[in-house]
Amino acid sequence: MKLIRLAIKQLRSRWLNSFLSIILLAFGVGIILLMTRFNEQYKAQMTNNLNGVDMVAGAKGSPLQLILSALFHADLPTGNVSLEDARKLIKHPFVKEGLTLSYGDNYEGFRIVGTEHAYIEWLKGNLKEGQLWNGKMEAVVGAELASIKNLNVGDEIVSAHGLVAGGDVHNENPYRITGILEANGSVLDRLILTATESIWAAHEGHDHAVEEEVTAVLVRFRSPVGFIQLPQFVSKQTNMQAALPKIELAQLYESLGVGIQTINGIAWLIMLVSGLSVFVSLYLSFKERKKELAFMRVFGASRTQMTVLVLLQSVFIAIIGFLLGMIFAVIGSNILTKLISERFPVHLNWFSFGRMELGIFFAVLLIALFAAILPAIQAFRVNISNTLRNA
Amino acid sequence: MLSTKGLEFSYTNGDAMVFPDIHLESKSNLLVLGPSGCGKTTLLHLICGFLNPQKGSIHINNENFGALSVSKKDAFRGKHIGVVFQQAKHFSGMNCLEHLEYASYFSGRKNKSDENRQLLNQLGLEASLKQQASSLSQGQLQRLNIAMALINKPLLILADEPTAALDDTNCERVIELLKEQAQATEAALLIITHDQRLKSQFQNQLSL
Repeated sequence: MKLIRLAIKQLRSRWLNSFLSIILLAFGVGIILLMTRFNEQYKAQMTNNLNGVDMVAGAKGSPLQLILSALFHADLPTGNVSLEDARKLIKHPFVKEGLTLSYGDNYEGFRIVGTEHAYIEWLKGNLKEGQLWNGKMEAVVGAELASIKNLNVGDEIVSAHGLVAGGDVHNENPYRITGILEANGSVLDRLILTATESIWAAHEGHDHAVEEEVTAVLVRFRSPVGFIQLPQFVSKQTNMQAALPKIELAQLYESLGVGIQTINGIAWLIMLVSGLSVFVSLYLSFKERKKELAFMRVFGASRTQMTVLVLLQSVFIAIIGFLLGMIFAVIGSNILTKLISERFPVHLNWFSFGRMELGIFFAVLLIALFAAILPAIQAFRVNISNTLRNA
Repeated sequence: MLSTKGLEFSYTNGDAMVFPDIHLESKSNLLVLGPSGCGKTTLLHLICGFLNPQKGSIHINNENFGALSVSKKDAFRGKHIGVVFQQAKHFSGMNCLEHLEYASYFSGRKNKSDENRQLLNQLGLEASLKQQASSLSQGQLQRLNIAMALINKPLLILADEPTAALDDTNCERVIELLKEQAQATEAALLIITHDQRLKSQFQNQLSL
């Protein structure tokens, strides 16, 4: 106990050096924890947000763009397809269920989606108040959106063309809010849902002759055979493209993974630099501490005690650095959640302590102990006579 | 108590130093005088076990101290030998009471805080118990060092030029203190110095 107190005293007497080592370590730990947590959780949550959708069909273009826009409402639509093509696909015998989405309008930056009541079921949404839409120009809004824009049942909102605020306003055809959904962490929280016909109606007299078009078709397969048969059917028999979310997301994770690995690499480098800083701090201060160590030996302190004293200081830096790193990670995931939840329905867990955290802790401890090896050997080998003579 | 026989020591680049035999009984004092450079500090380091004699033996309290291993010497020194240096030293970030606490801790002896206070009071440091040692004056620090040398009730107190940095008044005071405290704890006192002022204060003297 006394030795631990002594180690802390010595760290405090060199607080600037100790602080630098701790901060560097904490940054490394924080970044690694944050990145690893982000990597695991956004994958899990995005996969969770597929809600059993096996295939998305839409206008030809980038399949990833189609997936991101139709499932996560995070990208621009690839264009529109005819209702006839969409119905042809939904009626295919390999399709268990299907529904259409029509989007491309917004209310002050929040997307308006024309669809069927089933869409809410697919996304496991529930009404908090009011009721679902019945006729044209009736809408249901997500919980987060309702609280941000302070919307209530009975309010009227005016849609605008495009997906960002400030487009052509469809003044002549406002939507009336009939219901508000409960928050459930899905994309529903930030959407305005209405009947497909409402979207067409909003564009009447604006685009003049409005064709019956939708933006995307979401499909659940009856059997795994669909994975082989249906994409071919779509590309041969309709004027649409088919995109398989699982495959597209796997590719997205892979390309994001490279970035995450790079950041992780940098974080490990920061931790190694911190180890170096621990080493330099212990090594350079050795000249002064050498006199103190010799003086302690005069009173009977053993060489082992002196070695442990040096190692303890390094272990403290590791422990404090790790804990501070955990705090950084909590703050970081909070900020990251705020930043990305506007575009992706991903909420990072603030705090967790599992195998990964334990592994990183031991890695940090190992780095710190490694940095202390040489200073610890020096402490063991202090020549009392020489040191006191020159003091 | 302390007896050395035929002690010899040489540094790698120097001639062998041969030291006269020393016999010191408990509760007695000895002043070892010699000009600088004659090996006074070497003799002290040999008796403290900081150096190993190349020839001869050192017996302390019937223990063949000179032949002990490094770790046994550390432990023995902690229990039985108190050392006061010419240059007073301190541990960083500690106040006076903590210095005594750690001096006992390192020796492996149980420490009582009222003992610490009492000793610091006797040495005139009662106003500085909680003061950081780094902010003490040189004279105060020297007295703290004496307290540290005494706290474990050693059998033998060794002092290396304890008065070299002090003026006449403080010199006399420190020597008085050392003698007094050695007597109080029934310890043998060995002072090594070139300070001629001390000559008149000791009956037993040895010249190197």
